[in-house]
Amino acid sequence: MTRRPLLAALGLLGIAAIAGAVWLSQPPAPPDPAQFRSPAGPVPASAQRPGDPEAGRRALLNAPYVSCGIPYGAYSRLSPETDPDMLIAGREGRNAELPYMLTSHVNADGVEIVANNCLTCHAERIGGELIVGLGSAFGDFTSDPNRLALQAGTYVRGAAETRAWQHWAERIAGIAPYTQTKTVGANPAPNLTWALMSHLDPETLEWSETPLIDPPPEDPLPISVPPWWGMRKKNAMFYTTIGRGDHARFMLLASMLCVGSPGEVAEIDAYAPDIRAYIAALEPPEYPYPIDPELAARGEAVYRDACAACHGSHGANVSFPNLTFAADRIGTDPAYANAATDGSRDRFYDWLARSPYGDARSAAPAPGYIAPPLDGVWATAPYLHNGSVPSLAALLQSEIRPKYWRFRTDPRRYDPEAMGWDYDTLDHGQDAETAPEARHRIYDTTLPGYGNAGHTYSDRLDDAARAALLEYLKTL
Amino acid sequence: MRRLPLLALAALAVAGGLYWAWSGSDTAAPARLDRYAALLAELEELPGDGFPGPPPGWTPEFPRDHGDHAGSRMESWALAAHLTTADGETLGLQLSFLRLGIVAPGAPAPRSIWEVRELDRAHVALVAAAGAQAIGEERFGRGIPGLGGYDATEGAVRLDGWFLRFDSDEARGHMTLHATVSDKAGIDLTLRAEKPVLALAPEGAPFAGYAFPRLSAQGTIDRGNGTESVTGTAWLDHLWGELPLPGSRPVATDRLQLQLDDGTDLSLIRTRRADGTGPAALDGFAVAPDGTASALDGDSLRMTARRIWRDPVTGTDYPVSWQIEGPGLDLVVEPLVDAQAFDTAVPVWSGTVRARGRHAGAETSGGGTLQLTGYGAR
Repeated sequence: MTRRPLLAALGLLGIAAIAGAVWLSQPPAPPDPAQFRSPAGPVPASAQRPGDPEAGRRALLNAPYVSCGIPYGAYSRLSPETDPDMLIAGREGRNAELPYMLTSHVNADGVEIVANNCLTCHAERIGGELIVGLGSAFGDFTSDPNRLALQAGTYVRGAAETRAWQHWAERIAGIAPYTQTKTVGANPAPNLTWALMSHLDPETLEWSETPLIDPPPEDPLPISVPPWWGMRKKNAMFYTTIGRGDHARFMLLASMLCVGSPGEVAEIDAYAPDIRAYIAALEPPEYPYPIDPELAARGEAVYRDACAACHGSHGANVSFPNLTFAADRIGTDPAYANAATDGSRDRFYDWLARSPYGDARSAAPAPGYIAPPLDGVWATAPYLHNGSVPSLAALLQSEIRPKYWRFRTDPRRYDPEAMGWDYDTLDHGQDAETAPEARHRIYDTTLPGYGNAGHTYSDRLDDAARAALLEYLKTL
Repeated sequence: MRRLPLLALAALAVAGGLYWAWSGSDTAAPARLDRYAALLAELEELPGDGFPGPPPGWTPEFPRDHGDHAGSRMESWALAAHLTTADGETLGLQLSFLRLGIVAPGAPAPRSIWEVRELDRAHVALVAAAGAQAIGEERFGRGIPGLGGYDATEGAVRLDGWFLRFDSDEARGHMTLHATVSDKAGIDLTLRAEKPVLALAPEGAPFAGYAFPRLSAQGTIDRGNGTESVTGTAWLDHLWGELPLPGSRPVATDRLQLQLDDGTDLSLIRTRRADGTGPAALDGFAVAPDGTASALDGDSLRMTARRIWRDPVTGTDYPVSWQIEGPGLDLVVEPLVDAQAFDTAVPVWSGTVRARGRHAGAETSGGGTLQLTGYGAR
């Protein structure tokens, strides 16, 4: 046994899957779907609250915006030592000795809590360096998180620790059915967020053990976590252009796992603009291997012709058009965009509009996907919104995209030529594998929502042009 | 894949190694229970600092690892056997030793032998299919060399007259044990490994250890009317490091070890909230006849209570009969006798069970041990 899921910090939000919007209680009239839609095409900019990036980094790495977790006593019994590779600079007090994705605070009961923070999903290591803002490509959400909560409970002692643990374990039990992806690396954050909304009153933020509105479907549609540095260009935060308007406010959803009152949200909102400012100031990491400048220069011309209209230009004349395209036009797996706009998520958009986390325009998805900025694209494998294509080389040549594949993980290695993590192409999907650990390591593009079709624009390039384009993409 | 510290938690399940807990004597007086509860409360306050965890990359080495790991916070040896007498009567035996470090190893040497550095606790339980209830005895020690703990000269872990001795010439699992249950029974067994040792050292876990999932047992038992010979099958777990303190946590476990007649051994642990609310999680592993261990898929495995038995002494309800279902697996587990509860400060039902059903497409049966914690009022 090697791997088990880590609990999600709710860093991400987007939209997901099927099923009808049935109200179990409230409001008198169903929400007007038109209110929660945007057309394909450009996403308008919206004013952002100013913030101090440095204070934002400090808050991101130290503040208790996720306010429940494992009592430190139990954590320290379980994990008395921290691998130095897991530390990150800029941490204060206890945090300085905790792994980067965990943050400590003392709760109102006097119990020290260790909770997952945003970096659980928004940091990843490449070539020995931890890159804050890079979406985690290896987070494991394939197993039942209740197991983790219960096993942590094994090391909890005393009444105060028990109360703190119970608060966390209850929330985990509430979201567990909705967070289990089929493949390691696939992220369930949108579905997890909808699941939390179904248990929380949008106005009082009181938790209800039984859902107040219909929860989302159990199987989350898979998401590849987008890099944070795209936020300096993007007008909406997520693939289907949910997350419009005040980004800092929308980011508060990261606190929703444990929240209990609007007052808590207000406290975090006081420093959320700083965190947003930090995220929007992040630079992509530079490609750490040699680049052939002449080849890259030829590739730049290819890029200008074939890519820039949608993904924007780099270099001297930076531009980013913030364009969304209908899913059927790009041809990429439509499940996620369809679920966002077929009415099956409208009750959550309405929840958001009535909550301190957003307004009526916060979640107004377009029926498709945004063409994301490509800054630092070399680092962001696997590709497409669902992470179905393991390398840029495969993305640019659809005939070599593997139907079934598996990351090499022992050790994992970045392939500077293919531009992505080393992987093996397999001749079988998840059906053929009975052992759960092995099954969950297979990316099976025949599963619903996991498809790797579409975005075939570069298929028409010849090999030389494609090689040049790849070389240029290393420079972004 | 990324190595995350919390993953250590999951490892617990694989090890299935929560030790056979502090089930105690069935004759404990209330005054002693109070003292025991107080002791437990004090143990909760003990700092864990200074007790080293298992070294990274540990692999079992014998006979060294049969012995104690003196720097570790806790250490447990637990043996459970299901036996048959020459007359065909089925018996169950459990013998466990627990060592608990009170003072971290770096501390100055004790000034006198009265300064407690570790606590020893041993427990024996015996049940006969024909009997009305299990009998047991519990002993405590203070780690005084020669009386309790691991004796390197003898190669045995012991408390007063009880011992489990590892034969240093046969490092691969040859051992003998002797135990008594007050004045009611005396047991002597010789144990030999039928399968290779299984290392229980999940990466990042705060404990390490090993199991012999299948030992053949033979020996004698004296229940006051002469010596009877017995044969059977046993399971030994030996774990050390930071183990959960029993009875002081919000979760409890139902733990099952089965040794099937088709040569497969199963270890299942069902973790649940002690207050009865919320979901339960099930983990387990199977050991094939050739000794290969594989994890059971917790998602497709089910462990369902079939029958509740109410302890007439405490009024506690225990689910003593279970159905186990999984891929290629459908077993009904019944206790040898219902009354195998031990009413101590940490109430527990810890008993010998029989299993019957299907495994890998064929009828099978077997014996094993079931331990139910967290059902009694606290």
